Amino acid sequence: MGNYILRRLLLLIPTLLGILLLIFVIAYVIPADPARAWAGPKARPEQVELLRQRYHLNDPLYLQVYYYLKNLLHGDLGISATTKRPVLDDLKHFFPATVELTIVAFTLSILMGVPLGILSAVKRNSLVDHISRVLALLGVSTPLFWLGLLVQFIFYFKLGWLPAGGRCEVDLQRITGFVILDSLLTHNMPALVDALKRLVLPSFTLAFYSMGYLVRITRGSMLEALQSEYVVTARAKGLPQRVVIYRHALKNALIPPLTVMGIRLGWLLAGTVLLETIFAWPGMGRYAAGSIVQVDLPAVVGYTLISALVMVFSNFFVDILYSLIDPRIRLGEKAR
Amino acid sequence: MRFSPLTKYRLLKKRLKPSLKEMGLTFYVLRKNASAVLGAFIVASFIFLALFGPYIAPYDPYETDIIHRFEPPSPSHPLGTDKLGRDVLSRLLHGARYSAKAGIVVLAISVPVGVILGGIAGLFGGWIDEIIMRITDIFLAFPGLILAMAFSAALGPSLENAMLALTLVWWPLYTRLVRGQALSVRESAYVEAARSRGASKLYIVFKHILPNCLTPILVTFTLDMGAVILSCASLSFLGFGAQPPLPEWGRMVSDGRIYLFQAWWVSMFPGLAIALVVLGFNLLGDGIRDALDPKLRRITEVG
Repeated sequence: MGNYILRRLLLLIPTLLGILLLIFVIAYVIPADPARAWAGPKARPEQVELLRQRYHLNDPLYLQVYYYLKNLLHGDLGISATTKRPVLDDLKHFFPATVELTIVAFTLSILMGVPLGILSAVKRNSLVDHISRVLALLGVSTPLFWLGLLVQFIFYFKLGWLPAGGRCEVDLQRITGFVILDSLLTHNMPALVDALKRLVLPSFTLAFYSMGYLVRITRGSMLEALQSEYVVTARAKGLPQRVVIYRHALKNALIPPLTVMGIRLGWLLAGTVLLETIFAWPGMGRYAAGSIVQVDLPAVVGYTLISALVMVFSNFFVDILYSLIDPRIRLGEKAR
Repeated sequence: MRFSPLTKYRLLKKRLKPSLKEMGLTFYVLRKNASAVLGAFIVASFIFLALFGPYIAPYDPYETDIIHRFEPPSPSHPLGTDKLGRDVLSRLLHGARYSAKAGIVVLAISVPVGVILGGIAGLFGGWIDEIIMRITDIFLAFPGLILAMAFSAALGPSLENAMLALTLVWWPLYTRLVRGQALSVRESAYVEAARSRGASKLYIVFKHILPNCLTPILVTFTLDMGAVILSCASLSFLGFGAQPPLPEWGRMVSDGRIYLFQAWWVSMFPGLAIALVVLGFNLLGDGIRDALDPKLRRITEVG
């Protein structure tokens, strides 16, 4: 097992280097005038010149790569054109909000998507199956930003059940930055209630979108498992339906949904960009998207780097988890 | 020997007969599938609107009419008017072509690039394969929309740049798909037979590998058409894509957002249009997959 983890960790190195290089290309090579792009459209010429010197933009490209990596290792991701503060500080500040939203949505989508997919496969062609397939299809087809506006319109404006946006309006001491945790730690009930209320709309919207894929994948792999030989054998042995489905089929059927969950997490992160903008959620996505007139390249680039890192490491953990469940993977090399 | 045109036609018909029969069968299965028919109908209407939308639009999509701003849906403005009094329906009809253009341009570039690279990687193997696949992995390590956002931020916000950004993000999916197919076909007995017969690599690619990749590519292509339209609209919604006053659907949703509670129709109808079109491509894509591969019948998931 330790060997397997070590091998996976070593495989991360070239990927991480590649990610850093691609980010470099985006930040330094693609823009016609990197300094201007980094400073934002409203910067004065002196500021642009300052940036040009600070980031060695007049030097040859290989030196720029060197300085870029050096800066990165010192945690220097540039200055945000919107907030005028170091991007890394900003990202640290906004990170917990995004993580909170993503984790809640992720959990919700699993809680809704996996059982629905299983039920849909077990009761194939029943009403439940049809409903969950329609839901899944709507989930993958509906633009997230539109769905966000729709639920905001219905549940906030028409029905008045839930707040339109924001994260927590009650005063709360910041300890970890995670509102739910902080309010629990400080025994601040009003803050917790407010935070949960505000979490409902964005997290369910995001979960609905991710649920669609999970239902489709779970249903597909469950159907496949139910038609496999070991299930036929189990049935032939006269095992009760319940045991066949949950003990034999389900265990194998859960592997494909599990593998895509790491990737799904990345999709959820991308989804938060849209939803944070709509629900005024003070997270990294809204920060990166910036105000519409002022495209904030350092913020976008820093955010892209962080989200790639999150995705790489979540895939790594999924791989480890995956090998814990399925010994075949640990022993042989995983088929790509 | 010389054949008369009629004989030539008969010979050709005979040679094509198996594939025609196969195509007929596919269409038959597709026609039997109600949701696929619905999908095809939506897609066909979308294509029609993209081509002829501007000619059936009742108003000029850019013509402002401040007196009649934020008018709710009525017989004279079936989908209402926006903050500048522009007719939402007319803007919607004009906007169809921007989404269609995005879908077509992005896939027309990224699919061939991805297919060629994947084919090369799968066919040659070794270090070429290693290099291509590592680059692919790096692109796939990013959440697609976020990477596209970064590219469009670096390129500068415009619809063309958003399309370019999406193209840069999209090709790796096809590279991986085709490489996987190529690898499995390469090991097959019929390729082995062709090789031992002394067939060239090019012959094997065109005769065996590409035809085998066509089914998954076609299915992915149809599903991706919806996905590209959705992503492009998302970029425009965030402000990285189409700029005002262009009546691009994602941009229209974003422009109407601030007035949601005052005039819901301004942002709701364009969003509904996107949802419908994407749904259409998804239904059609699922249907094609089932029709082309009845064995699978929705068992495998296409992500």
